[in-house]
Amino acid sequence: MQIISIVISILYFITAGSYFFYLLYKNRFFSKFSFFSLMISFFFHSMYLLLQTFIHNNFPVISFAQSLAFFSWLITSFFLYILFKYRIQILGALLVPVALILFLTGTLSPEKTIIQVLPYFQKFSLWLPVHTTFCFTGNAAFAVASCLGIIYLIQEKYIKSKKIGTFHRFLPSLGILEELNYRCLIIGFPLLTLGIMSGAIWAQYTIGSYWQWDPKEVWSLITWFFYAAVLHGRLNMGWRGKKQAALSIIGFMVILFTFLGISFFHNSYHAWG
Amino acid sequence: MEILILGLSHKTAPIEIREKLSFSSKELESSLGEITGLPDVREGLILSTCNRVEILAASDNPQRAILNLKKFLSESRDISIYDIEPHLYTYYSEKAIQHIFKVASSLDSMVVGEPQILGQLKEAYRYSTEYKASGSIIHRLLHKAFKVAKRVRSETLIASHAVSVGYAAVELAKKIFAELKDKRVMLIGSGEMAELAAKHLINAEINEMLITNRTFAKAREIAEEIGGTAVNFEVFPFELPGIDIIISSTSAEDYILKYDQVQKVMRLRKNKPMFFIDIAVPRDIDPEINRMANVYLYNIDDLTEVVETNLRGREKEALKAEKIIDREKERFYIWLKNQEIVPTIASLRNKFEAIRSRELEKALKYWPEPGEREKKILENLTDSIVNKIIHDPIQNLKQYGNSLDNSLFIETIRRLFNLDENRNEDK
Repeated sequence: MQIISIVISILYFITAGSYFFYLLYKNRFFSKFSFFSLMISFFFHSMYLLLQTFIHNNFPVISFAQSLAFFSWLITSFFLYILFKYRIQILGALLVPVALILFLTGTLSPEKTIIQVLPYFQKFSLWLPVHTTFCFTGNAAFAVASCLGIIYLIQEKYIKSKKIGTFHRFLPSLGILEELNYRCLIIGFPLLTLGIMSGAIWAQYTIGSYWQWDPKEVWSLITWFFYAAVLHGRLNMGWRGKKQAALSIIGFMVILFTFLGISFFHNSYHAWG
Repeated sequence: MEILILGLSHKTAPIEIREKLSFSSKELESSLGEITGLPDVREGLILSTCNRVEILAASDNPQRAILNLKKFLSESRDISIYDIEPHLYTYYSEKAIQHIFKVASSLDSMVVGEPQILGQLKEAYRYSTEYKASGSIIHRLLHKAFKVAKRVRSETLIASHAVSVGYAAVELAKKIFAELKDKRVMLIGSGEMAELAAKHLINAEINEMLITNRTFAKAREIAEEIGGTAVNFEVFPFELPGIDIIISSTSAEDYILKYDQVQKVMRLRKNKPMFFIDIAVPRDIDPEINRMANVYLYNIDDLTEVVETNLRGREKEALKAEKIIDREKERFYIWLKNQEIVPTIASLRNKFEAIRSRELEKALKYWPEPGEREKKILENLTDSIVNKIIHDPIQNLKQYGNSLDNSLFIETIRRLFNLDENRNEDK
């Protein structure tokens, strides 16, 4: 199992490198190579998740490594969708490294985090895939939003400061970046809401309590309020452009903290992911 | 067979000379006929645009062909050869191939990267084919030139940078907004550059163009000319919240759009981005508004700066394009030279065969009574001597088929055995 993780990490590393060179040289070769390499990485990544599912006979989110692998798989999926629909290749230069770092963090973390003690993970429960898929997909959408936000800020800087060069030309228009960023937010937010709700219902069934004030629950709630405020601002107060981009970057920072920080530093029944 | 070019362009000749030498499309049929009728000219093509007049030809004797073409040019255009000689350039073989590739890729154009020249060259080729002035060499050369131009266009950024202020404004608008087709534009004032920018935007398929002017009649006049709606100058500020792009070019002494005003407009628009293009001198729009979020302001100097950066960018891309052209030129030259392998082998064989049969005939004359058997032996003997002698040269010619050295082989063999003399006799 370790070997396939290493292979996937290397493949993502090559893809990320290729996107970096594409950014640098902007030529066709790296554009094609990046895509090719990404497809191979994605294929192996998908196989890895399937294998994990069969080996542990459970949805692949029962260890820290699996959760992160699943999360980064979702990010890559989102990127592939954007690539096919909008052809924003440059996004790969940011999203692929994010996927790589997440996957690598999982691979390199000690394997001990597989949870077998808790009874509700012993056998396959439908709540597990439902709850985690909602949460992770929502978070992946926010991850994409933050990368789009970074590109937006760069492009905005170029246009404002009137430094019109090759790089500016290479980046998508502000309008498209803002629009896609917004779409990610309005996809991510309901998914996060459903994730929190399904988690609460599941907890009621298994533990007998909707809400435990577990650190991850608290931070998820903070994240939820944060994105609720961002969307409210956008719809009613004209929080657009630079502000929206900056907020979506901050939002993803909070998510990363919730995701990684809590898992490392806090004791929680969410600890593995 | 060599390729050659005789011509002049905006780089070598002033407009007065260029217009005298230009060919109208009606003249092309007779002119192409005349060219290909000239001694030493096998195939011909005439490219005549406002920036260049060039005659492309294929010939076995390029030097003589050029002289004849110059004579043709001066006679048919009714201009003394002494008047045009200093402006003319000539290119032979490799240089000629390179030149036509450069012309097709718009590297030799007045505005490097402009797209019209390729169309004009295609047109010239069409005429040359239609009037049967082109043969296999020109067919192949021009198709290659079109391919090279396409490669240059797709592999370099030579044509992707705006090189006029109006077009630079459109490019910027495209980098600010996701799409232009739902955008409303307002032109305030008048002026050549502002109207041109407005026209470019209309061509980029914006939703609506409003035009306002202190003199309403002038606004209506411009609206009619470029296609838009005239708006009264007194009411234009009320339209602003619904406008995405503003081009301003009035002769006002003071700002006609002030900071507070734009701030209010942005609030009404819920911060939807706005793009201001201030072409006026003195400026029409308070430069401070560029600091507002989602407001982008470019004045004439900013746009000129963009254009200059773009021109420098095109020059850099042109270097990349030249590399592509050099490689393709070399390949084509090899192909061209290889065209001579088969005829060279044939003339080599013919020459030896001629010598053999002549000498055999002579020898048999002095033989008192040659029997059939002796004749046969002699025939076979001479035949096999000739074959053995020319076997190696022919093998070598074929073997070096796809390299440049080959042209050297062909040249050497043709000279050593005087093959070109034979060919001219054949004619």
